[in-house]
Amino acid sequence: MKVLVTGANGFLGREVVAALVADGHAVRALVRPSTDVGPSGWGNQVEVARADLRGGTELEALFAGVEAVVHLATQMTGDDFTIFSGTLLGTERLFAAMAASSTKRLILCSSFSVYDWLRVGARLDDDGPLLTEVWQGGAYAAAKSWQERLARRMAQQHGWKLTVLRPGFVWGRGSDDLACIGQRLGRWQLVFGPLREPPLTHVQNCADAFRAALASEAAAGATVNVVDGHGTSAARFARERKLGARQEGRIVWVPLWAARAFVWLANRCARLVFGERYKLPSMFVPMRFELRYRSVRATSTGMMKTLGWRALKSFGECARATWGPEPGSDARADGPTMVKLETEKRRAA
Amino acid sequence: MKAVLIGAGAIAREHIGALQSVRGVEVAGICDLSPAMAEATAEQFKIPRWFTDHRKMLAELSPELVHVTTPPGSHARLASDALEAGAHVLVEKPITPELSEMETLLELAARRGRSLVEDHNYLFNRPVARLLEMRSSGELGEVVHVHVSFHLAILGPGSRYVDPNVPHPCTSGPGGAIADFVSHLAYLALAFTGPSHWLQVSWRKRSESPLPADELRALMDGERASALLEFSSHAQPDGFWIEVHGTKLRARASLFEPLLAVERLRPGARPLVPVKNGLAMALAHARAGLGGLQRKLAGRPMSYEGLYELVRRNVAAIRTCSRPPVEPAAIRAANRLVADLLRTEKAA
Repeated sequence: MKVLVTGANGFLGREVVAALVADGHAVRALVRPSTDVGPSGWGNQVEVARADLRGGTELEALFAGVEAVVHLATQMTGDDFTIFSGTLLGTERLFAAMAASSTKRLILCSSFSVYDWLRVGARLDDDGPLLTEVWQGGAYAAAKSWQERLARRMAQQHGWKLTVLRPGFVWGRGSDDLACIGQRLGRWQLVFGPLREPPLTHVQNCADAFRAALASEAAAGATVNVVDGHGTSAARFARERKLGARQEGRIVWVPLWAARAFVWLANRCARLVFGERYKLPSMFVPMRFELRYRSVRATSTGMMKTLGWRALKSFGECARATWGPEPGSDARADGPTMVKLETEKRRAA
Repeated sequence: MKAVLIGAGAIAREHIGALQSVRGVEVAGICDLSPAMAEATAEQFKIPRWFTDHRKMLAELSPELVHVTTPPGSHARLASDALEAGAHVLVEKPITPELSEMETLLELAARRGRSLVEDHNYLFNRPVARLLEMRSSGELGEVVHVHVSFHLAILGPGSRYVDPNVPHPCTSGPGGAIADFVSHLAYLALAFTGPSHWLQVSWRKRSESPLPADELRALMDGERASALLEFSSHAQPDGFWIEVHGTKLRARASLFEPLLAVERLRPGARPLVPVKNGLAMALAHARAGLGGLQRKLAGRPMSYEGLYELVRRNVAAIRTCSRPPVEPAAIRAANRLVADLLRTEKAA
């Protein structure tokens, strides 16, 4: 199958392209005109197409011969308006071009940020409560909510087979400083709620979920969470990261109730001093605090039952892929860059 | 009063906030070429109707006031349609890229008996408004010279002005990205100097970028005083201020923070005058720093506070049929100066 992948040069995009190629698909990888793709190692099955979804080049030609689209592109940098408008306008233009083509299959990468984290309970499945006021979750949440909304409308209008994947916190080599673990404070890494299990998905597992969604006919019409379900606690992730990434400084455990109380107090004080329209940094916004740190068991019935998908790699394998030697590097497996997982060390002892 | 907006870009959000803050004004509709942006903006700001065709919006809603917040190239057509539909119009700066289009619009507004206002928002920021009061009351003495300076790192990573993938609408015209800021420099200086009759301009490109120039310095002689207009993409930290040199005092107002720092002739022993001025300046800077932080935490408008005041006064002027807060003469003077400035970049 020929697949158009947007955001193909991004952190997740490169892995998705690799996973699709490994599954035998021909990929048209869409990157921005000025992007230096570098030594991607994608090989002949990947055709690099250059266009910016937000404007400039016409997008219709991208769909020639394409049977499915994996839409990953999101504006990640800039102020709130840039993030929101860049994502929305790009998505709108892409879908308009797709509507003019014969392509009918769409896999959309959404996010956990579309959930209303003030209403999420102890367990979050694919049918969790969604934001009703999308800006409550910030610009990224608003952009992702609108992307989903547009995709559903267009799918209904044009008879597309749509699958929406909502990955949890995606991590991997080069992106392991996760907002859902805690906050860096000088030399201290604060870990909020060390025992809770954040909804993590390693980038290679997440990419494999996209491959699985594309491969499955049953996935059409489904909206599913993507989490690895390794049961890795925030404390363990922080410890492994400190060891694996050779991070300096100390890890400080902060009970979740204490962090939450601090946020509550900051909001009360701000309201008292500055009035109802006060603004605090994002970590102090209750919705965003809960998105990052809420103690929740996130699952995906859809991924497991509909797609029969399980995370490809264990946490140990993911940790090695992230903090171990670079693939193709000369480092020996037992050399100085080898990641010794805390759990493995304990087992050895 | 029923108001609508044409254009749902970044600046439109400030206009919506400003309009919704005026008692008795209902933002009844918003129009954008992108249906998604129009609908999303309407939903976010609780605007009841959204459109992708401005003529349809004008016909269906019959607004009394239209704000045009699209890129400059479309201002003439959209403002003209709004005036023809019988609305008062406030247009983002620059009112039009061409002077001839501006004249056509001003004539049309006069003919239709409607007000046409260009957004000169920074004139209404409190520190600048206070400077203007000081001039009117004679506290400044006679204005001798004005220095308007805008330092903004528009070449930095992530800047929309140097995005190689989607060029900013301003970057293709004369002056490049600086043209997007030069209106502010012009109307701020002209408010103190009077119309310009002599201009010497330096455009400079200090570093590699798609922009034709990244530094501008212009020495201008006006009817009442001289002015130095400056835009720098390199000087740091970011700042935007106007300094007015009068015969009785020198005052510096910031457009980014609520700062007005004044050095004045003071009675008493001469050696103590710099000390007194120094203390007064230090106090003003500390107060401005804290005031800016307080404003940010309170969710109040920051550098766009002047837009809120301009919109409030514009609505009041429409209601009372009095003179608009930015009069045609000021619009003409500012745009003529801008045209003269940009012409020199073409020549350079």
